[in-house]
Amino acid sequence: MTRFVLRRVLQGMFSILGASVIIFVVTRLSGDPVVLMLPPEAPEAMVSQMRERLGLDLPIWQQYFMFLSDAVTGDFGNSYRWEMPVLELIRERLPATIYLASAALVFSLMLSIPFGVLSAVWRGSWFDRFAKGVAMLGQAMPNFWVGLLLIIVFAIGLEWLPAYGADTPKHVILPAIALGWYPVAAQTRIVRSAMLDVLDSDYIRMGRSVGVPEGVLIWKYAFRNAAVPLVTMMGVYFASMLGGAFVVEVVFAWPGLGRTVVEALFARDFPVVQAGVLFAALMFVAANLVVDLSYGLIDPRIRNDR
Amino acid sequence: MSRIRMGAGAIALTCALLGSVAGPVTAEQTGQLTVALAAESTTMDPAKYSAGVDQYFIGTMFEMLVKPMPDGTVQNWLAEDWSIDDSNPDKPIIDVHIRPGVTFHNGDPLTSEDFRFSYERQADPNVSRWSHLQANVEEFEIVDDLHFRLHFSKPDAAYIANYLQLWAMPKKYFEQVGEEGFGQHPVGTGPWKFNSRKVKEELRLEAYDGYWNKDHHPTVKDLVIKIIPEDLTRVAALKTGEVDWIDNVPPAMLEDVKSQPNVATAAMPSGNNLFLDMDTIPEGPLQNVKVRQAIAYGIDMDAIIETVLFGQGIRYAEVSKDGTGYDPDLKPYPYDPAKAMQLMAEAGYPQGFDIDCYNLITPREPNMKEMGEAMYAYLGTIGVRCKVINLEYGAWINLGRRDEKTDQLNGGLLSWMWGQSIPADPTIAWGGHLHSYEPGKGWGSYSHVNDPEFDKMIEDASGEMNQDKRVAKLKEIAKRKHELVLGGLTTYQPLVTMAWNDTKVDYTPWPYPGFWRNFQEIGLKTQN
Amino acid sequence: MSLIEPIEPAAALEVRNLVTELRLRRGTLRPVDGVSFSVAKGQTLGIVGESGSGKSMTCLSLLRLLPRPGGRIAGGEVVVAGTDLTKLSDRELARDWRGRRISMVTQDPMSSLNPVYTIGDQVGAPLRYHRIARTRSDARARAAEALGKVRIPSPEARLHDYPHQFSGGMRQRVVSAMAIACAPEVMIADEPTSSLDVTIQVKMMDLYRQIQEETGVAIVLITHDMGVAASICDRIAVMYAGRIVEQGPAKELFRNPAHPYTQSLLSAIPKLGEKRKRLYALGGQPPSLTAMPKGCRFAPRCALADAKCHASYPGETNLGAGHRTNCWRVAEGGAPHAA
Repeated sequence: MTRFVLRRVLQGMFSILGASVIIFVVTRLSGDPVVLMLPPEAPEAMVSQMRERLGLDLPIWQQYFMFLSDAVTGDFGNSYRWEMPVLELIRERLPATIYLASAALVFSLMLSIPFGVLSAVWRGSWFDRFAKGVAMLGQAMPNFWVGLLLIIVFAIGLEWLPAYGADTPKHVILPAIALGWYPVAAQTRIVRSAMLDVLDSDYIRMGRSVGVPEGVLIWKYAFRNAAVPLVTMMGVYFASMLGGAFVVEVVFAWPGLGRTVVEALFARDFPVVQAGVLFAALMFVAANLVVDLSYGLIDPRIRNDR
Repeated sequence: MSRIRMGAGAIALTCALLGSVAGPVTAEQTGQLTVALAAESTTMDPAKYSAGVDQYFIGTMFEMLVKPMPDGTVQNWLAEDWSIDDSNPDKPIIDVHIRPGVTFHNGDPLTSEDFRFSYERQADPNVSRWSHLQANVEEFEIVDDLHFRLHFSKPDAAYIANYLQLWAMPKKYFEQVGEEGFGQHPVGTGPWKFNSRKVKEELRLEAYDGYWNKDHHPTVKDLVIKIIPEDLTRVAALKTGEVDWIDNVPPAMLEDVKSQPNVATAAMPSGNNLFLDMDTIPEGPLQNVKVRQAIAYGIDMDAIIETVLFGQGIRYAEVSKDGTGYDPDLKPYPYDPAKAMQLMAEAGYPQGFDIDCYNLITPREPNMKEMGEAMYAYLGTIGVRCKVINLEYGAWINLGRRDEKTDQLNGGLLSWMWGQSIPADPTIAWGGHLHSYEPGKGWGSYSHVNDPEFDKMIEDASGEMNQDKRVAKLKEIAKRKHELVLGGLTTYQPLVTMAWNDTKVDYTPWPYPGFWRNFQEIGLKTQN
Repeated sequence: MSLIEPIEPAAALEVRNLVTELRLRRGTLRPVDGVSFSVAKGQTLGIVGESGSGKSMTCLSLLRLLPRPGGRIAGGEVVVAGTDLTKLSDRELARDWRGRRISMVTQDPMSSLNPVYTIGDQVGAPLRYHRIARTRSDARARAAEALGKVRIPSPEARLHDYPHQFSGGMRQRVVSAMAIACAPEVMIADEPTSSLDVTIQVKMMDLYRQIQEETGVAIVLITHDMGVAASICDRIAVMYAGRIVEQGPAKELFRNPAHPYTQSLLSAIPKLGEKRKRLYALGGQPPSLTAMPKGCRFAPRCALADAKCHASYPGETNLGAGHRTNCWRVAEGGAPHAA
């Protein structure tokens, strides 16, 4: 078991390293941050002086090694724009993004699991069609648009929920819906198709033949088997929630990392972009690792193979 | 919403019981207002100010020697009076008397030492990105606690145009807490005192009860500034009562917001001046003045502003109405397509020509992308066939900026902007995009013009510290610039609209250097 | 709910004219088309026939485990302990009957157990849901007991194991344990040993016989293997194309098969010492469910068929001592000769 974990952690680190190289190169291809930081009439001398101060005049491989050696000690440099340590910026904001992404994931499961299971159990019924419709709606609409719509209806129109911010637990509801609705369609399909397979299986029929009540058959004995393909995708879905969070955060003025990184991108604030992407990669790798380890919890056949 | 109204009513009643709201600051202020801004300052340390947006926070807590007023004039502020001593015209001296009785938020009195300390910080290139603006000050002489003199190595009119540059920063406090401490808990002389901040979320301020200006000050105790970048969300927050005041109502939502009951709005011209820059450096049609004039006649700016911007823009000709060098006789070019076509033919392009037209898509001002597209579409009708190239902010800046190697515009058009501040003074802007490119001296860093006559005129005006003479010189430049359509065709100034809950908020718009979003006078309304 | 008088007084299970329909897009099929039989307490009835004859459908119908949607019982009665199961609701069936008084063991032990739950949980399930075990420890104890009955060594320890940790034969025992945990009156075994090798087959049959001796459970054994049928069945019913064509006491049936189909089934078994160049195989195919012949369903393949056979379905001929068949040739007199 430990060997397995070690191996996966090593793989993860390589992925993150690769991501760091890519983002390092790409940001520097996107333009010159110094020109954006200084006022328009700044003399050339000032520009080159600032460039020197930020180390941007060095060859790119040298810049990368400096970045890497600092990063390993936890120093991600200072934001060009904010003049505060990048790590602090991220540390303050990452939890909010993780919170939102998790809430969105939970919301999506709150829809996709019942939809998927019941659509399979009542295959072809009006519920099956209804669930499909709701799921497809989420897939068809871009998340920022859903967010704006939710604000109009629930904040302005009905005045049930707040329009922005993150002060109370109520505040996460609308952003979580806006972010989490998109993957519902794909998740529902996975659950439904897995459930259909499982419901037709011999062991479910066996359970029925010994008198297990239908509800228990569906939710206990069948669902756990059908959950495996869904769990497989959880890492991917969490990563896509992280990515989608960036946009939703702007709509709802959610104090997360996404907004920070997007703004940093426009401002060519390299240290923030680099660190932001790196942490996103880290989240993704960690999520996948957790998913892999959790297979063993769900499917005992996999446990002993480690 | 009703709960907030009730609360506000209770608080207002309390205020009324405690005494007149617009009275002396000595009475204890109460109550809280929440406002929402679309963008946020990156720093609260005036010496580290990098872009206009930083004024949003700095301007609430810090002050300068002079200050622009709501009526467009510049009045003495922390300076009781000041004058220019040009007994040696090549090395002028600015003589300043500080207003007595001004204190910082921590109680320390304001003295010349504090201004010298600020000067040193602002002149240090390792601290400030604008240190070059202090380059001409060769000595800061302290005469006594309330009297100091700035010795210049040569005439520098820009220094005056920039509100005498210096911010009042507390030397003793800074030395106690250090730069980082100061940046996290700033202390100034302004009407608002720092309370707390959550980066990217909110800034909490408290009215300073030792504030020196008894005539113009806030009338509410606590101010919470929230940051809501998304337009619709910000408007929604006002509608639901979650915030009491918002800035930047998007033009498309203006009708809707205005039609809300109990909402008051104020539209002010932003300090930003937009123009259509033309690359006259390489060989090409733009080098011909008739082509440039044709372009000026060929765009119906009024129509575009009305439809694309919902009327939220003001046309200007070179210098805006409140500005230094404003000439009421200089009118923006009227829309005259027939004349434009004629000019094109006279210039030798009866069939028109193809040209690259660069358009900014990042909405630094509302609907910039659509405005550019509309203008370029009009040009198409007079034969200037635009190949529209969209750029986002970073790429756009990089394209417009001159460097030693090339002028990347390749004889094309570029929608550009350069704020002239409030009130306007075009000196620095023209130094940047009208004067030819001289990298060593900092001239023309975004210039696509090469005209020696303009270079001379601009350098002359920037050294002229006598206000009347300056105005005359600037008018000269404006006139010539307008005729030749060089350094860009001036298009419009965007209007910024603020909106607030009229039954709850008592607000007077005040500018600070460059922008209107100053909370110099804001408070809770009392019940009559 | 009135008690229905059984025809044979000691019958644990009595099936009368059972008809099962499958509603599919291409039409409605009747894989079970009027099947009647009974099994006495402590006795084993074997149902034999080719694949597609309707044997599996019959036993699924007894517990109403038909494919959904589309499968339903269209007629007839299934009587256990005086109650017609076809008239009960699904909930009643599950709560009081399935696994409690009538249970089933199916063909493929590899897939009959839920891979993600322990066998303790699965064997305990009928005990818990039929309220025989009231607490978890009680369920565990009784499940271990059931595992002991099917001769699984160290049953308490193995309660925590998962199906994939058992061999095929052991799994079949576990499934059997689930079926007998609540001591039902009727157990249906659908080809319980087809996927196991011969030595294990023998052991399983032994086990079933022993359980039957201990508990008196009536067993319905579906098989296509005449040898298995011969070894433990007391009575045998032969199914063809959805109907029973002959049934009777096992010894009698083997000695004097009356129906031409039964005869061909028995001829197909090679005998020791017999010299034959080729194995005997019955030519042709059973009729398709969508195109059922009007008359005797075996007629198209029967060497003895005539016009009457093709025209109308043969009535029942009683050959005495519980031996019955449906065949015109038999009805007209004399047992036909073996082919």
